Amino acid sequence: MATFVGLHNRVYLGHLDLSGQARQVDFGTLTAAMADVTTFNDGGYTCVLPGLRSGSFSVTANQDFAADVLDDELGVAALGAQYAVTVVPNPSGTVAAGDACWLSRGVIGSYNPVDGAVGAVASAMLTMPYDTGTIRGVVGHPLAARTTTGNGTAIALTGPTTSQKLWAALHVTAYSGLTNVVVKVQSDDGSGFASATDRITFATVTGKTSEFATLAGYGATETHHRATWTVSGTGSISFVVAFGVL
Amino acid sequence: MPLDVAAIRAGLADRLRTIAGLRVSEYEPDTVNTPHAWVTLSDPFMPEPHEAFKDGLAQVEFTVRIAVSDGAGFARAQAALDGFVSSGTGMASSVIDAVMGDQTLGGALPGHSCRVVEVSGIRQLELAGGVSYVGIEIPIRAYCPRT
Repeated sequence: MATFVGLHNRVYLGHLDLSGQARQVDFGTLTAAMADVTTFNDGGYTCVLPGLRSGSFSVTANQDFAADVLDDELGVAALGAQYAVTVVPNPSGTVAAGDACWLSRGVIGSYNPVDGAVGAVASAMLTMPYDTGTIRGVVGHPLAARTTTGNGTAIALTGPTTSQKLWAALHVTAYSGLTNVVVKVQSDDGSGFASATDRITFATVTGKTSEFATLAGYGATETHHRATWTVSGTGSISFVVAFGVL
Repeated sequence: MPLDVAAIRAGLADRLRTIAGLRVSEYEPDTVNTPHAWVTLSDPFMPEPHEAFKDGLAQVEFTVRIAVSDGAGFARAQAALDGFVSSGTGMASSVIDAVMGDQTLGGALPGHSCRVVEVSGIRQLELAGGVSYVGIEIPIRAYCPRT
């Protein structure tokens, strides 16, 4: 991807696809606190060490009070609640497996449900400081409706070393009719997934939901990852899976 | 829902037809029978196609033009326009009230809305055929998804 204009960025917060309402999204700023360790021997210069990392997600959206769109789900009751978030930068409108994205989880710290001058489009603003790592990952399953069991595209992504983790987010934006769905992230040492290993199994899905999960490092010998979904019953599920290694 | 210009234009025309005695065309007419209103695309028509990601919202602007006759003198032409630019209780010819009476324009903008953004002063309206009429212009801004 070259430089681009973010006309079609995707914003998934909890089980909501806010892309059609959001008009500005910020995944950061991500910072590392700089702890001062300057001594008399540092030649008159400040000396620092990297400390705690932090960041905050924020989105400004065109407010919509319809059921299950924005305010209906992310109202005052959502303040202090924990949600997974995934932002997919996108210029074209077509998101493919393997596209870069950022994912994390946070706690909604502020929400402004109504903002705007007379005559302006009514806005909503929300900020959510992260309460875990912030990962530059890949899209494992772009938002799409599934009615049958399937495997996602094999994505070249080296597994986490023992000092790293696999991080994954699931956003189920629509769900109807099905008995349940089991969504997993698998890894393999080849793109053919001849010896696929389940790495992260999200909680069994029975409705619109979201989840953020991590797994301790299992070695860099694994070279590929993919999303899988096992569908039980008759109906449809629309979901996004994103994962990354950090 | 898509941005259906013809449907929005028709919805606007239907709102104008609630004004008794006003002839209404969805497009600039070949022949004007005053008082006559028609809907045109403003310039620019779509000042902001990207009000949200994923083609979530576009801002478009139409202009309602109302022409009156000045054959009986300019004073009568001015008087004929007063009712169209009035607003409020009892102002049955109000264009503002007619449009704002149904901001979804009969369902052409479901879940979204439009508003009158300006009412011009009296001016000469030049038609494509070279004829001109005394009238006013009322730009109306609408918000609609493009998906």
